[in-house]
Amino acid sequence: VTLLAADINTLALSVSAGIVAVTLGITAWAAKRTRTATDFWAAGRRISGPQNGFAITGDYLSASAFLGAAGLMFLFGFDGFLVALFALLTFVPLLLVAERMRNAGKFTMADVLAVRMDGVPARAAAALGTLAVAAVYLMAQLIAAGVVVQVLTGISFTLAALATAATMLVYVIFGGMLATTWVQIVKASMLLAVGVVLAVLVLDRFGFDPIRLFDEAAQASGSGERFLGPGLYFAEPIQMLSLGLAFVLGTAGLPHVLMRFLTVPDARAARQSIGWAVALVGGFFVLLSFIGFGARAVLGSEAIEAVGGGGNLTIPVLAQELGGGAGSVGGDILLAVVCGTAFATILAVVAGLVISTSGAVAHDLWTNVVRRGQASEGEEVVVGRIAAASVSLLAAILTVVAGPGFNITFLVSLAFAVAASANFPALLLALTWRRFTTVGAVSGVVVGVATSVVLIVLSPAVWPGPDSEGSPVSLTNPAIVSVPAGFLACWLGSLLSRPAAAESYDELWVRAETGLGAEEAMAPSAPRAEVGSGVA
Amino acid sequence: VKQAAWHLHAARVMLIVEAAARPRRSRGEDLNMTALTTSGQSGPSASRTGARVEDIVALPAFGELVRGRRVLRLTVTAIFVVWAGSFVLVTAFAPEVTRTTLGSISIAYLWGLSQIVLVWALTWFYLRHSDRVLAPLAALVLTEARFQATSRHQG
Repeated sequence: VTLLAADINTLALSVSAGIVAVTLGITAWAAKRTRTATDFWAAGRRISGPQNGFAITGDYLSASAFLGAAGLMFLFGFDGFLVALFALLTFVPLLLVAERMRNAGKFTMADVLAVRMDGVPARAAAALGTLAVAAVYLMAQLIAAGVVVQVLTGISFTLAALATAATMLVYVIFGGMLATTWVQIVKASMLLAVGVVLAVLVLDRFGFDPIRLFDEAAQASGSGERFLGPGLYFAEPIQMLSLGLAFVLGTAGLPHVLMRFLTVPDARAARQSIGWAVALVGGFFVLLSFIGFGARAVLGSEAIEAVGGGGNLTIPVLAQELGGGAGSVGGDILLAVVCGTAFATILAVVAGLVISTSGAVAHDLWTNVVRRGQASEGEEVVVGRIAAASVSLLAAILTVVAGPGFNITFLVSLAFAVAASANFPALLLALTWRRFTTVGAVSGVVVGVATSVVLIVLSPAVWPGPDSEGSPVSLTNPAIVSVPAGFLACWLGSLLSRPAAAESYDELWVRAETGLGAEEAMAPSAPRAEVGSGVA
Repeated sequence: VKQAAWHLHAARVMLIVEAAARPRRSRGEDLNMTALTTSGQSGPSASRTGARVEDIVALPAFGELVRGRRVLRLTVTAIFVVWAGSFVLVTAFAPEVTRTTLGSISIAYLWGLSQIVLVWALTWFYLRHSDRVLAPLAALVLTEARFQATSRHQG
């Protein structure tokens, strides 16, 4: 199985180019409707519940869930499916904070903390958490982009990662949240369609009999029935628990997912959007289990080389095989569509990440910390665009330095660990614990970020180099240590300090639970050309 | 004062009747809530009905809403922790139990699929309960808050 045959490139390239053209069209449409800060970061709060459900699905089904989890299933069987399950279980904690996030927030997670706390330090801390999560997550996605585009076109990993960073930047700078959301909706629909097609084609190989599929997967794995149960990827229980904790608690601390709830008109649409996302993502993961196990049964162990480091290319290789094999028309078309979809997936997710970091930098750090609330809305949006550009550049450089050798799901799990340790405790306690103080929130975020990042750097995957021996920490994912550390720091910091006079839990409580005083949806702004004014 | 109390009662009845009349499709509830918040003058607090936070906290309906939400959240969390937690712990510490296969489909996989069903069911339950019970209650809190603010303004 080869993926670099010269005749693939034109077709795959034109599919990807078509997808990029469609998304740029969406961006141009959205750019005319993006004038105020609320347009830029929250799409005017006019996204409907079902639309937002598709967009959340898009954020969930990143390259990690699509390429990475299928790769882990191909290589390690059930443990790969377990990783996908963890990603689904995260919806329950998310469901419990979604409505309160909508009611209390404006553009970022920090807004929720700022309702009840001293805004300047609380926002600075929340921005730190957001930036730390986004840095790791962006790297993961750009590495995936580099790998996929390299396969697709044969151009180098470096160039591919840089080109992806440039495209996502165009979406964000010009189209803001509206473009990002619609790119996400288009991509989610494509991904779901591809999932259905691949699952049907795989099942067709086994006469639509899942028992036969699993049977042959087990035989092809060389591990027999062990392949169908846990234990091949996670050597020790502690590694699995740590990864599970990172995923399950992390999503409710992911800035780009939390921000999604601020794009809908009200709390009802916020919870409704989770209903849609849960239905779609759950269905997709059922299909993905057929695809992942089926890949082993169809491709056999000899494809382990072809699926690349970390198994990231399992789905493209499988698609080519299902379509009729390398060189066949069907194989080429299916490979092109899958690669194009994977590319669209990555573009959409990185755009969401960039917009959430630009919110943290412009809305939290610049407007409310540096300028103490004195910046105009126009200035905030300009700073937001500059921030988006800087973040993209930085992430692209980090990606090129890190190189293509990491499994995407593994890297994403690290981003979840930072989110679960730094952002989730502060957000949850701000919403539920009356005695929580500004000092507690700041120390929680700082300790959460510091613990998780230090443990990641010292872990086997990073120190002293990928997959090498002799690292000081054996945990591959830090969550099992860093999440309790984050909560503990929140708790200790709160006990050792007194709430300031201006701090009011009741205010946040009433607002979060009733929606009283929540940010409202804006009337649609007319396209800019008709109004003839710039940023309002 | 009597007349005011009657208005409040009427508002409660209206909301309850309304909620009962359209138990499923209640698109407007939360939108109404947002509309309410704009209609008042901004009072001493940030809330835009002109109602004071401490007055709202003291409302019986607010207590009922908060208790209702707490019960719902704790119920969902408890079911989730038990079913997902037992799955994760058994998979981690007793993998041989879940490796048993039934006609080439392992217990681990079936139990895993049941987690997807669990998340579906919990979400469905949460949405239904929120739409039918909690959203009308939240609307009632806002009506009472607005009423309270108006009567306070009138002296």
